Amino acid sequence: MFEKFKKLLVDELQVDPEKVTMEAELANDLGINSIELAELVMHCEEDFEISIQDDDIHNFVTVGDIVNYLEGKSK
Amino acid sequence: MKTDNNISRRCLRQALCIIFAAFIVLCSAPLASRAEKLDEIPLERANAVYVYNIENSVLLASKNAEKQLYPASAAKIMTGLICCEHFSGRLDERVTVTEQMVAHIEGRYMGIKAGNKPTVRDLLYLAFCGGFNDAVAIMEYLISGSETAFVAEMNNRAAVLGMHSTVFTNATGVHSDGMVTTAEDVAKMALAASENGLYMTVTSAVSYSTEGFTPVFSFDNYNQLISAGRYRNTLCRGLNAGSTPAAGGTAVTIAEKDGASILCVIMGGETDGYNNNYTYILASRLIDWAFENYGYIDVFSTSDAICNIPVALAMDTDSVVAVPSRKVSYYLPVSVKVSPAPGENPDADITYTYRLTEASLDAPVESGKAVGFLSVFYKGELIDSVVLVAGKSVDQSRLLYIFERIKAFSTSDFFIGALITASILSLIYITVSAFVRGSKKTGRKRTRR
Repeated sequence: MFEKFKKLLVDELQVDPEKVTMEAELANDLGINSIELAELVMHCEEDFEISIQDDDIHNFVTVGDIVNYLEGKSK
Repeated sequence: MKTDNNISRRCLRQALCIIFAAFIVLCSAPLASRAEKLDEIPLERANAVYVYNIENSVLLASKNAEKQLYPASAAKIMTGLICCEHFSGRLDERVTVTEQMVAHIEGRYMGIKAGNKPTVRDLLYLAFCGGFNDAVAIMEYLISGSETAFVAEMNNRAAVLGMHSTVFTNATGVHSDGMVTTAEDVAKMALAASENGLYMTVTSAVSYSTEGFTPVFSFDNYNQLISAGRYRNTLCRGLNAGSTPAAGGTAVTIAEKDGASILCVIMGGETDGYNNNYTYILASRLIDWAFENYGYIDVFSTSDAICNIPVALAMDTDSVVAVPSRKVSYYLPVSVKVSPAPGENPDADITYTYRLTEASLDAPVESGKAVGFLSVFYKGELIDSVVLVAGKSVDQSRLLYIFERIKAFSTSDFFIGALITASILSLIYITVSAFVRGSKKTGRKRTRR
């Protein structure tokens, strides 16, 4: 799941792959802003065929938060 | 020990709260962390785009601006403008809904029934914040008596606004093959609507709770750039968004930052008609691009010396600087290069020339005295002409002034004329005197003989 999400970050938001770790913060470490986060969520919904609630997005601080969320939703 | 644990837990909780709050603040910051170029924004994900600076009437970006497309709910901008003008000052009035008013509703609706007594405020917010078409139908009936008559009024207003490529066939934007508009026309309509305070208040509301229905009905703004969801852009206020399968996504909004207002129109944007709506992302990316790449460029301040003008009769100087009479500032791409010197400069986007009304001045010179004109060019085209004034006062030297007056008098035609006349008269006098003296001597000699 991590590798798939990392590929999404690199391909869609041109994030430096070296910086993508489970602990990396989306805003501080990867420079992802609110628009890019919305775009990322949209891609996650399409690629992982899940629905993400807007309220849940506010809990996404690190890459790990999203990966864990996606794993939970995919079960 | 238990107290220590509690303190540690409290500290941890506080730290987590601070981290979370910091992330929310960072993620809510509407500006992109890295400046984007226009060609990096996927404009292909919409049929038409129009990005416009309102204060300076500058078109910043466009795609298919004149192509006729289906308006979707952008048609409601015209409906909203007419309704807000009609019901202004009557927001607390109660309306009794009749069967006829809600007989034929298409698209998104709330379910207003005959006998309901909403306020006018309820109807306006339901229609133009919530996007509920039954509220639209009630208002068009109240204003014009029928949808046909209301649509005729919409088309009249469109003609007045110069929306020459627009035809409305209904008030809600529900798909109709004959209803078309362009991004440019939508921009004209949005600019007119943006001047109506009531319309902008209604369409800028994040959410609304009705006052004339039991139970109270609460809803979020249908425009997700405004409502508190994933696409929210805190710079945006008002106007409209929606979609139909035929039209795709539309988003029309005004974003404000640092004294600049950007109108953004997206038509035919990618959307699944529900949550995944690239139309909003495209709008926000274009708005960010506009704010990042355009701004007020200060070309000259009122203290910038454009040139020096020689000054005669001055006490302690021999020149005065010419400066612009006002600040010279334009809304342009932030990357523009200003020429450091007057005249043509192929490396600069902004160049300038100046012309003085007099090649030199005589003291005293008052600060602010007009001394010439500054012409400013952007990419070779004249964009402004500014009066040049003396940058400071220059006092006169009395001694130099007296010398100058003497010099001026001594070289004046009168003085030279008087000098010549006096010389001639003196010559005549000497000649006459000599002649008279000579005559007397001759007379005396004859007498002696």
